[in-house]
Amino acid sequence: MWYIFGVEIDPSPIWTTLAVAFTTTLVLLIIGIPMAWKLARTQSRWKVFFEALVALPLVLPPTVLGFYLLISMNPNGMVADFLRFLGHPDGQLTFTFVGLVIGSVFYSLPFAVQPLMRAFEQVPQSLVDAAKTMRANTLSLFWQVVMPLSRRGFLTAATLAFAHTVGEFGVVLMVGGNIPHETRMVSIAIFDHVETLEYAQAHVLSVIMLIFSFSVLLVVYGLNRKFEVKIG
Amino acid sequence: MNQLSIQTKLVRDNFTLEIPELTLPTTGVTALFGRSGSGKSTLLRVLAGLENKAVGRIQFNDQVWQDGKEFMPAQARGVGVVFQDGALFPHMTVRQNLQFALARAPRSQDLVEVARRCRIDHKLGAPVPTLSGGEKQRVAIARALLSSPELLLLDEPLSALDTATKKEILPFLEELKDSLNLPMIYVTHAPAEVERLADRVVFLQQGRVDKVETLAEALSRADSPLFADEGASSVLLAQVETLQAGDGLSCLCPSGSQCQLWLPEVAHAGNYRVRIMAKDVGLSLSPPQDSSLLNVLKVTIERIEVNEQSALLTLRLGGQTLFAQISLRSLRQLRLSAGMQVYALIKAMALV
Repeated sequence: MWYIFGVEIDPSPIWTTLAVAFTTTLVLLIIGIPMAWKLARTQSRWKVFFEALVALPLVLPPTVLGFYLLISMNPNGMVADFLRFLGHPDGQLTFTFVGLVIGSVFYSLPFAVQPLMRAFEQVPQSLVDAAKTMRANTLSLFWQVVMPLSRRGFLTAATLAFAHTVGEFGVVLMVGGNIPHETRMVSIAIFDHVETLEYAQAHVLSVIMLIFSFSVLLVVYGLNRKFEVKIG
Repeated sequence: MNQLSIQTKLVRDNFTLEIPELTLPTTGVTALFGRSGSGKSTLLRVLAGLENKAVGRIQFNDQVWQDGKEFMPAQARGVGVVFQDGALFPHMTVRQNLQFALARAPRSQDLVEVARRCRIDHKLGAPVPTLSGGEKQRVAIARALLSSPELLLLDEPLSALDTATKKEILPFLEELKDSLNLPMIYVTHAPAEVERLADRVVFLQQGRVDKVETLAEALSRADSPLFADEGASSVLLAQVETLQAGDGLSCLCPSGSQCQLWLPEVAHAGNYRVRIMAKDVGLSLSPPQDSSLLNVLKVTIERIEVNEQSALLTLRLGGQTLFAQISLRSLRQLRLSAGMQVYALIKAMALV
């Protein structure tokens, strides 16, 4: 237990939130990079379709997304069957940490993919072509040319994905539930405190969130300026 | 089998490149010449392996680059490409750019030596954004050479440069052409570059090959597309006799003749192509005694073509051809006719 301004605070939702956000960001970068790269470079007529699909979580009520995830991850469903087949003890994803991360990945997808995509689109095609004609394989093309030229995009993607996951509520509630020390995140803890009229605790957690969010954005904008990449 | 055989088709939204059959020797410099939208840059990209939507068959010497479903990617073709804007990696220094190519090349080369040959050795530590346009193109060329290509593709490498820089890079490309035994394909819309560099020309128009000619053939007809914008011109192959002949001039001797040709100092000794615009050539029945014109060449009139405003005369100098464009009034007053021996007068300063 922490005592902040003389108020007793259970810090575990903070740790859970940070762990979920960190894991989600990592997963999003890993799957977001190839998705964004493909979307940025494709000339296929399907591009619009996939762009819309990626952006869907921006407009969809989180409860809708959470509802579908809850259904698809139900203990008697295909996903659970498949996990049991792979050796998972019960195939249970809902109301677990992994379930939370899966929900968050879907929910924060556009926040990672869109900045990456914008950054990749900024890398001139001629540089990609030049690297190819010099026998660069996809990996070195990516690490030595694309990455350094889209640092800002990476930074923005990682920070926004992290911050957005920290701030989510609806999906988390649907998929993760509210199990203390396991799936209770800060946003839900605040809701709980308000429900039970513990306004002091709600205040402290809210102030922490406010300061955190503002600092994150401050860092993003600050670094963005510092890491400006000049092309030409 | 030292040839590049191309059969390709590429359909885009508003443009189709279609070449049913094109075979080029893989020696010397082949120019792809045409207006913008003719498909010359697209053809270059097809050859480089950068257009995977192109269908057809491409074979370079004994290496099949593309055939039906088989498609050798750009990484495997061993072509060097010099892009229009240089396409240097802006986040690296010059040395890192060169190193990028060298590290993946099948053959080791001395980076500093190649940089010196391209006259950028003093810029190795410089970040790319600090380079001038000319320096960027030199680095791009050095980088392409360091990847040890078997074919060098150049996509309008001079078009983004100002006139002064063009004049500096063009002789450098001539030197490269002479010193390297490397086939080159050179995309351009500038007749001057074709005439100074190319051994043969592929004329492209609206995505199709119009004609393939040797440079001599292309320059021998008055209706050549090379003359469409700037008027007729000719190229005299000449030997540099005295590189620094004083007063900022060089003295050259056109091959197959005994005469002297004076022009502003050229960049290198040995063989030199002198490009002479037909409108810069005047004619006289006798050699002028007191004129500022330095170049007085005894020639034979081979043919006279009269059109609305002027006459185009084909002149013989040794075994070479020289065009002169004169007014109809001059033609009448001098009573010029085919077979006559006359003197071609050219200002040295017109031969830059």
